[in-house]
Amino acid sequence: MTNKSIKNQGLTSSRRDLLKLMGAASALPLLGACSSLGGSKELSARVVVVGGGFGGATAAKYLKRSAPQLDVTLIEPNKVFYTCPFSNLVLAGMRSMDSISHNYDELRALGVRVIHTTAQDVDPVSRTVSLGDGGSVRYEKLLLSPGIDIRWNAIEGYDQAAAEHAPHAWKAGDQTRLLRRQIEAMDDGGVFVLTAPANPFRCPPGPYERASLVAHYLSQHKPRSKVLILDAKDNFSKQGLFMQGWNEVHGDRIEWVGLSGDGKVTRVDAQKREVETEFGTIHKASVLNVVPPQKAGFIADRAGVTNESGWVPVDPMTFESTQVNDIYVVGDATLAAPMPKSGFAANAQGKVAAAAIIASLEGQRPLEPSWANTCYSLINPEYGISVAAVYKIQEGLISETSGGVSATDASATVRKLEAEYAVGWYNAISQDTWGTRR
Amino acid sequence: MIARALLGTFLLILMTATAVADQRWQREDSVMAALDGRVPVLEGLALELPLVAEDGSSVNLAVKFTGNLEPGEHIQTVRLFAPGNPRPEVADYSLSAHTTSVDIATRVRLSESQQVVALAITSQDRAFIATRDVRVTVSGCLVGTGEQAAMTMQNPRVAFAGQASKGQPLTVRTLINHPMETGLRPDGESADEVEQQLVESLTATLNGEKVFSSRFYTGTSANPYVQFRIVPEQTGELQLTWQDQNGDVVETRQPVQF
Repeated sequence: MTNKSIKNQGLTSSRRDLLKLMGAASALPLLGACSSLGGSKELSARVVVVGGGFGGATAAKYLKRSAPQLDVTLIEPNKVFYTCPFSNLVLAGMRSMDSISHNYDELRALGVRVIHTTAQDVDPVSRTVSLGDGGSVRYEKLLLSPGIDIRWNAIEGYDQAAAEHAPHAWKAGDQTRLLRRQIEAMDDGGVFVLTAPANPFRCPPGPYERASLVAHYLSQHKPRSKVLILDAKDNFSKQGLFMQGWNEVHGDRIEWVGLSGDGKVTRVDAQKREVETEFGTIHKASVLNVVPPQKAGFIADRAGVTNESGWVPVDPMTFESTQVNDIYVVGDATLAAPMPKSGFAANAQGKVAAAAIIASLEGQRPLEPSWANTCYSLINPEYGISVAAVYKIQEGLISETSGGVSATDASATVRKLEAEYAVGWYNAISQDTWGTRR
Repeated sequence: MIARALLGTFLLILMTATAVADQRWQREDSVMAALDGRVPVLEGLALELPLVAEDGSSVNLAVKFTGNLEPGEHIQTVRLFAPGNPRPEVADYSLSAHTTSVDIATRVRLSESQQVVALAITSQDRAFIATRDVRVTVSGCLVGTGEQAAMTMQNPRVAFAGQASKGQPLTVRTLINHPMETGLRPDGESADEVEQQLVESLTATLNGEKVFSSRFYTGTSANPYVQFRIVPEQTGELQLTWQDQNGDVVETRQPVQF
């Protein structure tokens, strides 16, 4: 039991019913409800947001939009943010890096103070974030959207130096460019080996979309080449749809080896582009893409909000840390299962946390949230599949209340439409998060 | 400082709550039957599972014993229970004589969030217990293996983690492909369940002497995986024998060289 849930027990039943009646069906109307609840009190508290990805940029924007008097600071080292969603399209040569880039102009225009430096430490007692440029910022409320860090050496031999030879490309940017160059330079007839981690990890369908789109590129430019996926699990996101799509589109170009087929990689030799599996099989790659085991971004550790799993437990009502008061955490770093570690989920969580922060500053109780998530994946540019779900709190835990995946055996027209919806989704969420219009 | 002190208080409450919650095994018939009147020691046995399992059909589990034994006492058996499953038994492991430290890993099936229980019984008839709460977000019972898997044992695998050396513990990993049908999974076509088909046991002998064995139940994942330790005193051969419920046998061997 957490201190947060003790607080929530203090809610009277009539109050709870009232909140239900107000209908917090989604995060967006919830914000409106919050502002009206707050009775336009002047809020001048300092809120610091660390991380300008899907979770952090969304939270900063909705904090400032809902409560313009708030002093909102965003700490983000990069002036340009590249999204992991659609970075697989860059790898396949379908898009440019520029097309997945976003900046912070809209946030600045809204009045958010954006500081391009790293957050290096958090002192929850003095409520201070120390910065890479030597400065520091103080907060009344801190929101961390730190994303993931790689667990270096969790697979023997896979460290930062190894990632220069065998890229992970699981944070978009230079790693994406490096892997793209390697794929382009690959000989026709070569093998692209992708190693996929056990759960949980960022973007559950990501490795399989990547394999699909790399196979698509190879079919056009290096038709004798193959893709081999070595997987540390037997079941993965949208597995049936991916396998059907691979059969229909890629034939035997893609081979998948699961955990029980000796697919778990235990050692990497990045220089030789070679991996060894749990039962001693050696696989040689022309291009080796290691999607490694992950954990919450390091600032979460510094703030003391991670637990033994390496991820961050949060109160589902607010996404406030269950370990440290007044620090809210959203996105891939959190333990929010069954919500996936996805950009869409981070965006939805960013709105819930922003609303909860404002409610708390106004002395109000947070409204009961719900979240939606959709993940599109491409088998090729004209073949899309998706998984979608709605999440609510049941018995104090985030639970999936409805959802599903694309129909199996759908027509080519449906698959093509889903590929178009994927682009529509990307454009919409980019505009919602960073204000990017293309 | 006040915040830290408050945090400490909450942690204390949490820990107290956990200690009380850990007594839940006393209400599980399977666990109490296995204890058979013994009062288990609460320290010494450790159970490792993820806090949240995103795929209940295959959850990594490790059980370790690092507790104190009397002179001459050793661990004889380790038993795993998933009391929240329709059938609580997961696996029983029999260890060679003189085993004083245990390091076993496997993959288990959890149909829902629950407290998993491990028991160790010693040669002096003492019991140790460990428990661990796991939240399961996708049920292990409803995830099919996709394509219809063969109902027979196939592709036995074995490997050592690292190099064997005389008198030193050597970790053995082994796996066999088999669907481990629980007999509880609905058949998509008819109203009946898919018929139960389990791998029943694994026996490991080192130069003819039995060093480890395992009995599997419905709580062990499809494609049973076991990691255990042996302590080879001389070079030779490790022989692994898998047997299914129909009495069919598959053998595999691995040379042990220093």
